[in-house]
Amino acid sequence: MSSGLIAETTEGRPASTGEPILRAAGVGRAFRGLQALADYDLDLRQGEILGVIGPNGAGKSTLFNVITGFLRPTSGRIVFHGREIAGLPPDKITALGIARTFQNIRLFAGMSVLDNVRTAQGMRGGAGFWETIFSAPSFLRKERAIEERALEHLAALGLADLHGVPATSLPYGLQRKLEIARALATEPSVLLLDEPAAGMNAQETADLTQLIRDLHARFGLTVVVVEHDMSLIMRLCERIQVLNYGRVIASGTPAEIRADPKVIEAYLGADETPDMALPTVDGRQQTHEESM
Amino acid sequence: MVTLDHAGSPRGMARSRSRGVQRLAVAVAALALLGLFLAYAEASLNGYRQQLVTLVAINAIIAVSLTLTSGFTGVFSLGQIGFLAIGAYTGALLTIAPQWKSEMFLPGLPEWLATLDLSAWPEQAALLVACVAGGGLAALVAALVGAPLMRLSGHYVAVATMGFLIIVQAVAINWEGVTRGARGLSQIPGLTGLWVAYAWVVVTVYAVWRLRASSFGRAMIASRENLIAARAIGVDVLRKRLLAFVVGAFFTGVAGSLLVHQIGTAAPSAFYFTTTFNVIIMVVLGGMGSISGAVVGATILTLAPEYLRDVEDGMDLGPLSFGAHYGLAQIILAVGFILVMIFRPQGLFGDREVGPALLGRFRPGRRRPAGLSPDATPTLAPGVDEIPADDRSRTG
Ligand SMILES: Nc1ncnc2c1ncn2[C@@H]1O[C@H](COP(=O)(O)OP(=O)(O)O)[C@@H](O)[C@H]1O
Ligand SMILES: [Mg+2]
Repeated sequence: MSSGLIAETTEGRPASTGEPILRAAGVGRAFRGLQALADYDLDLRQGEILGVIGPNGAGKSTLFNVITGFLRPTSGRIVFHGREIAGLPPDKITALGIARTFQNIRLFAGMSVLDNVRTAQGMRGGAGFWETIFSAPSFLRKERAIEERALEHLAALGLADLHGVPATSLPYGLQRKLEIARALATEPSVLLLDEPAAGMNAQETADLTQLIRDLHARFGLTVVVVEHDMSLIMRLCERIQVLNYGRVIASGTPAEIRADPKVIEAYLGADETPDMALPTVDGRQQTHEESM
Repeated sequence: MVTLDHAGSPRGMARSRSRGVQRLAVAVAALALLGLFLAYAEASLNGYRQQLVTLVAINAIIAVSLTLTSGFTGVFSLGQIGFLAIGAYTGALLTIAPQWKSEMFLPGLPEWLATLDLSAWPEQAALLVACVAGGGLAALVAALVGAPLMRLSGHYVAVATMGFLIIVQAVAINWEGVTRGARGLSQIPGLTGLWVAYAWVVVTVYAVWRLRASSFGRAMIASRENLIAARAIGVDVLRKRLLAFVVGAFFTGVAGSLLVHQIGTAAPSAFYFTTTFNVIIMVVLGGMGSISGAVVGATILTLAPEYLRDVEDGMDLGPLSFGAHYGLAQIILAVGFILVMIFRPQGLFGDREVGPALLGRFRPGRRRPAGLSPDATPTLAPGVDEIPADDRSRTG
């Protein structure tokens, strides 16, 4: 399996156009004494898939929270499409075109699968107040368009048949996919995935890898993916950043990262288990508390 | 009460048109039934009972407003009755005849209001002005008060809105030149009848129902279900909450005006904690997210004490005879609520509407996927929350 994977890694990896779309310079976030993210630089190119890896507590989720406005950076600048976004509230940043999923699944529990996605879909092209109150024809037209597009996004994740069931009745893996569908429904140009394969078995992870690749191509996305599963990272990403204690300790192609002694050391330092030492292509990185 | 399906049910493209027709048919049928009932009530019920039925309508408007403001958004407002008071005093001051205003000595009134005389107007036009003005002023105040308050969540917002209620109460008691203090205003013309009260119920239910079935309603529910996820998909939580707060305040203000034009007086004591908790019980009993539940809750809470009064007075049931036990009515009601909360904590209707049951189609489209048993429901991964607590209590 591993040799096949490596071949696929080089061939199937999507190419980016090279236009910078999201830039970060010197971004840091401290929690009281703890520097969770420090001196973080990023030049995310249009259409690329960037992997961010690192031991638990390295600052990966903090990075996503800072980019999406859930946390204010304590230093640095973040520029999206030429516009400074650091400090904007999350809904404004989403409206500009950055969507995310959460490491801990956050669905709208009381809603159906379709309504989870339809709610996100309605954030663009939703009807105005008076149109809504009077059920104007334009309201009905917009509602139908929202529903149609929401079903398309569900279909893209293979969830169309389940549109009517309560979101929380889905099995874990499908809940993760529903979060991706919901993120897509905000019509983003950049998609941030926080441990999308957490809790999935090897087969499900392989399927998800292919699915992300498909979505990336079909929706013309730029993707940043945080994941402990190296098979997913190595197959998907053309570029990887390694975070440790809030700092980027290595950055490069999958091959470069695999050979980097600093990376190996970071993983060794984070966990005594010997087989954690090398992020390998085929082995699952299960030893981290991956539910976090 | 005229919704046809669970708000979260999917509508297939092809089916949506025929659903629309079906929906219209049920709406027309419901309105016709309501009309028949009102005609009957007008013809056969005595004055006291008619007033009771009117009071059901007024309470239903307040409860449906609170369903929008708190039920959909999860922002627990204890200030709703403050808006009832604003609507009540505003409406009353517009319609009380000028000679009564001068008799009651209200030096705080501006000249135009002191001399405003709507008595020459057609009664219903005067009432409409009083209701819209009362609702409008309540909405305006809600916009000002809500802008800072709707940033809060949980018990913070409950306490803060209660603060608003206390302020309104203090103003009503102490602004004697306008409100006549604790004595309250009297000589308010009895303009509110059965029909106009229920017309406002229909308008309120319709407006709230339309909002619920739109992007606005879904965004409100989303922010209630998961604040962080709602923000992540682009919901401007503050604006959505503010909209719910302002629209809810409008209809509550309307209800305040209807109320004082029914009972003829406006006194501060009618707009305080007792009323607040009554309305909250109506909404919680009906189900925090259900419009029809709010209507049912309002009906039960308005009528039950009247019927239970007979029990209090003592009864003869064949061999069994009960003497008078005052306070029994309250105890029976309270025990009833406690039982509902124990056995149906989501209230009678939860988030659902009565429509599907009426049509014999219970919860359309909410079937489970094949092979997924409820037991298969995964527990979400436990773990450290990535969002800091200090960011969680705020929405702006
Ligand atoms: N809201 C917070 N308050 C305090 N400390 C936090 C908060 N969020 C994250 N941290 C800390 O910041 C560090 C990085 O966390 P995180 O970004 O979640 O790591 P990762 O996602 O890489 O596992 C950890 O030490 C974590 O405990
Ligand atoms: Mg994380």
